Amino acid sequence: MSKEAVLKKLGEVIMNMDEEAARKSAEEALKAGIDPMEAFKAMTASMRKIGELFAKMELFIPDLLMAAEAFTAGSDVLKSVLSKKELEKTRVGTVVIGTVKGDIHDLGKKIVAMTLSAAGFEVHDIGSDQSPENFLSEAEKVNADIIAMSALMSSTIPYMKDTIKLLEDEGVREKYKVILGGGPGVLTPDLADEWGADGYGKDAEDAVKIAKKLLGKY
Amino acid sequence: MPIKPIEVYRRATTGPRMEEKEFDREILSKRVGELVKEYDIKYDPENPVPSDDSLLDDVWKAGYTFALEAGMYCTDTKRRIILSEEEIKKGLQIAIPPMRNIEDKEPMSLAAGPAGIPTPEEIFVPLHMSYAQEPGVDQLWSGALSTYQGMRVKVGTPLEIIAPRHEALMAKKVLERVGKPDLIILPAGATTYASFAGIADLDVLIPVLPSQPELKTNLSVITMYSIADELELAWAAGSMELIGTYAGPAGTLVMGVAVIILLYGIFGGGAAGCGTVMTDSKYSISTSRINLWPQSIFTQMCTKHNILSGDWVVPRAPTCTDMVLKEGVTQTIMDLASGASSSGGSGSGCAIGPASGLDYRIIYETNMGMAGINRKNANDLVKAILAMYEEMIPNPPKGKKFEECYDMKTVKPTKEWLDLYNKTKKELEDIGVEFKEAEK
Repeated sequence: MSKEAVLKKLGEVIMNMDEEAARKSAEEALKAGIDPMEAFKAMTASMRKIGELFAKMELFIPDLLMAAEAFTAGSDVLKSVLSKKELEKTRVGTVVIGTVKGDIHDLGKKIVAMTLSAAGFEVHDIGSDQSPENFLSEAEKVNADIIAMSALMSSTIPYMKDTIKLLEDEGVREKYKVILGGGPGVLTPDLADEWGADGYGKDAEDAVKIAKKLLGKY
Repeated sequence: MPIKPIEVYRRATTGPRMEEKEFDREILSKRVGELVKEYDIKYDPENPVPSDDSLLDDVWKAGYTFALEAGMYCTDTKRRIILSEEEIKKGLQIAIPPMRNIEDKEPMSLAAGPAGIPTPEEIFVPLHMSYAQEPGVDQLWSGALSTYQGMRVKVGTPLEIIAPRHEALMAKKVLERVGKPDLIILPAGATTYASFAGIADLDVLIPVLPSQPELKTNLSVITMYSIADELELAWAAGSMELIGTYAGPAGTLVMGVAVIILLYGIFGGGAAGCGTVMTDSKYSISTSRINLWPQSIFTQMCTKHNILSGDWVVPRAPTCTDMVLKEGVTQTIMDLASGASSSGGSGSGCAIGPASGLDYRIIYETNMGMAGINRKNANDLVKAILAMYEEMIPNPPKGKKFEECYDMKTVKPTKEWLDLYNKTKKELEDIGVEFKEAEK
């Protein structure tokens, strides 16, 4: 198979959301001597298309999740041959994302997580009903750049402020950028600002823009 | 009662087990997609208020099939609560019958209030007065105190009980002040404790069992059901289906049908009503085109199958804008023609805070003036008004906060807001909307 055909196939298996095929295609790409960065570009381009189809309601959350899993499978193969320096080039940033304590709403958070992933971020989704301590411990574990918190209820958004306070109390506030998001009418940009967040994302696309801007990656 | 709470719990712990993402993929997305194709249910953006009665039958069959196959997924136990066809039929037998028919000449019953929107304590009373004093309010839907005595209301703390109790007590005082002491109060509370916090001594309170969207529930909701059953309370079970998360408008519609069937079958015993509404997941609103179509069909189909369907206006624009008024009128016209038994307003999909009584007033005046409109005329009017605001949905006008458009002492709208209200009404009257004001 020509290099072009291999790259085309790699893009297609991501569009087909096939995890096993993504792994195999990534291996084929390496065997064919293709530059891993070029292979990454092919997969990322497919993830972007998937994001566009989701926005048009032609694909839905389970599709995003499967595509993300296929992308991760392919990426893991490609990353295994990259040097530290090259690995750093592939990384836009690392995000820890979750819904705060007492809140089980996670659909919006899932969409943001997958949109960030499609944009090249390494995303660690810790799930819902997460304490401030859990956000911090995961951020430390994965050496995160950004902590992103979601909440849908007026009685749970205060845990966002508690998490920011925890970062301050532990002397690590400057280490992480904090982005908040949630139900409209519940969490307002003014409140996010008052609580000392670095950004407020009104939707998934906005979250990606803000995340990139905060890390200087436009 | 189809099944008792203890049986609901038993099935939640013994039913077929599957991982949530498998349920999402195989049952929500995939199976719903198959049913939409099988029954040829297609989203029609050109007809937000459709008049196709055969579509109603197809939607019912698809939703019924889905309810029987899928059951409700308990996220805590990762098991599905499956109902037999006999239990589904028993649930439907206790469904609250509709108060209106499709194209009915009678107006809808209306609720008014911030409906769970975070409400600063310093404006709680005037805000609720602004709604309660309006004509035609059958139920007052409380906002959620964001602080109490300066402390942020937080789940998992005593304020989770104290704040909702005071919301209910203050709402009761508001009703006494406006001379409507017997109105029903719907609590703002979205958590297990909060929803029941105002119960004691307040016999006008109906707790609402919140359900997760898309056929999901959890042990907390099942516990709430048990409390309501043991205390012999009347409660309502509600949900909302988010268009664009697991399916588009057609698929979400099928899910909505399955949800209402399952709500009655699982939580229906003793319920004052079960309901679900379609919501545009991108903006969390009810007034976009993509939302109106499935909501209209859902309401028509429920009415045809003798199930009460209610709605609620969640606009995009903030208060003190012409857009928020147009959104309220659009949805009310759709609701009237589709046979909704109840509606009201207004929560808000915008970021700046609660709306105001005047946002509700236009819903009332539309309700009284346009009751009896047929689906075809409603469709034409809805499309005409949609054209006035739908392009602004991504970036709505700024508007004002409640305290900037109401006199906080007299609880009357400012001249600016009232002038805008009257100007917008005139604009809508020019295209055929008829408003009927309350008698003075």
